[in-house]
Amino acid sequence: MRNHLCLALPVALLAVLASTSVARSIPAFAAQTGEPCSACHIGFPQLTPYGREFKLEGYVAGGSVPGYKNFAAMSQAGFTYLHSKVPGGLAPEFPSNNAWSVQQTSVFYGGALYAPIGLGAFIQGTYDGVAHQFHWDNLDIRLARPTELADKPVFYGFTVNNAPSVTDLWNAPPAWGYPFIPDSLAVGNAAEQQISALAQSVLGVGSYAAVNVTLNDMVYSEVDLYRPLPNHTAYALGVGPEVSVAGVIPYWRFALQHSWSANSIEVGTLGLADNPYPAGFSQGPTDHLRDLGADAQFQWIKPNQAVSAQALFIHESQDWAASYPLGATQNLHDTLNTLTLTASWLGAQKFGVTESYNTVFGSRDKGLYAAAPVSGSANGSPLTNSLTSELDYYPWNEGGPAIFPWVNAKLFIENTTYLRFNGRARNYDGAGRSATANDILFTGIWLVF
Amino acid sequence: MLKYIQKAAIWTGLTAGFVLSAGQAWAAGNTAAGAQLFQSQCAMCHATTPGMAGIGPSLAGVYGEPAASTAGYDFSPALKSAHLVWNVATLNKFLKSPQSTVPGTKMPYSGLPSVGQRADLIAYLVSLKGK
Ligand code: HEC
Repeated sequence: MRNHLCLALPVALLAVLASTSVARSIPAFAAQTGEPCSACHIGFPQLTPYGREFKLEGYVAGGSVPGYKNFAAMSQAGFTYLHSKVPGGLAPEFPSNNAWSVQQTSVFYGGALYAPIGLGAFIQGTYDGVAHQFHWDNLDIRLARPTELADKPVFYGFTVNNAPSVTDLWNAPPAWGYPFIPDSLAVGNAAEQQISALAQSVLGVGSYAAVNVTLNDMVYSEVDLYRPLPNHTAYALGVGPEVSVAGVIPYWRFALQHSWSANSIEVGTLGLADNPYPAGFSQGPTDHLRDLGADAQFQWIKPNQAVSAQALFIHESQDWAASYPLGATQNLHDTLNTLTLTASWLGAQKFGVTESYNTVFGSRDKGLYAAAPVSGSANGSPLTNSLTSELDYYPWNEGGPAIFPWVNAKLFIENTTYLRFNGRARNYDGAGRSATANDILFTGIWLVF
Repeated sequence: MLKYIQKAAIWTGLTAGFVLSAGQAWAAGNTAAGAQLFQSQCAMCHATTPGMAGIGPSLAGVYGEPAASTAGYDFSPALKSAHLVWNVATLNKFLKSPQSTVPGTKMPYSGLPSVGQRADLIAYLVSLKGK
């Protein structure tokens, strides 16, 4: 469920692209605040300190009640080239290589629902042009209130949302972290952690508080409780089948932010625990999965350029108490880790460069990562290392073409190189495919209006 | 009757005293300290040159003026309809907690908790007037 990223897109694009008063008058947040997108974003979808404060305060700043300005639309189209073709097609009804696609088309509502009480929302629905279906995408409805604690300004709030970390203010955690432009035609690696896998398949309520302990230091904490969507609801929302998890899924987040002149730095931790049923079951004994992560972000933002960097490490401990006795896993206990390092530069509000290193590593388990051509693993290891480079150009930073002045766009070229894939550099799938065969070039355009 | 007059007098006196001491506190606001605070807390969004809008409006002549009256800046409906005039009392309240003073304002700043720092900052804003 990587399409969630596009939620940020309109806003981000707005941020970066909008500049004339016309250009900023359509996409929702920019329209509500009357600010150019660059006030809240550096590139897509990273938030500036102002953007974080806007989200923290419930998306209400500058708004009152819903209006047509709060609606926006976005579309992403591109061309995908893989180093080696995928026999049978990159996806059903797609060629085996060199594929054009309109991957996502989204509509969204962004902004105040009722500003006087701090009620606002970010709601996205997406048509997935690869899977050929409509699904609900990122959702975050929040109520935020200012108060004081021991004479320190505090914003606290409540949220109803559908993905762990979609509520986050920083850009290391999964929902708004790298890759900023996922290609759904890519060959996906075998392993995924729960914190990402649950996105849009759950619905939760949470509360958060941000305390400004000094003028330049903020302490942020958040706790959310999720429930998986029932099967028919999951299908109705285009995300079926259900994820089969028992009980509630707690997610928590704690972060410290320090700012000085044009800089801000954040260090934080996050975690999630859930008890999924083994594949094919919806009752009986469960497995126990625990995600525990640490993240950090640095930003330096000047009017004509900005630099940012993020780091995220998440360790998942997997206790296969139910799957192991069934023979679905090779081990009773496994671990799965991810590390993502990202650095970006944005110049003149026109040119963006992002470099990222991503690694997935953990226990070998032939039950979890079975051998299969292209998608499988010959040695049962999740080990996957990749380097991604992204170049962006924002052509209409000074406003769109005369016939369509409110349109904004971002042109991108993204290249990912795999050093290891599902365990190995060569013959990783046991059918002779090497990791570099999955190297992928994705180029295209994002349009928002 | 006399009692009431007495009471009223005491109240008036108290209020006057309060206002006076408040006034003294503000008078004590340190412009230089305020300028420094402005640099670290406000300058990323506000210019002090008339007519220069950033994320927020220029604050060059804001003191003494009605809220949301600076020409050439797109203020929020909330601030426009708040009917405030920027003086010591209103600035003191707004800077303490913008979002609770004017819900829906598009100044997402969490607030300046220290009354002394607000005094310094307001002294600085006063000093910008007529520059
Ligand atoms: C993150 C950006 C940001 C920061 C930081 C910020 N402001 Fe603002 N400020 C704004 C915006 C945006 C507005 C317009 C508010 C509206 O229209 O609701 C504003 C409005 C104001 C106004 C009202 C102006 C008018 O003409 O009515 C004053 C006064 C003000 N700010 C003072 C300050 C001071 C003093 C600080 C530093 C303590 C500060 N602001 C920090 C963005 C900011």
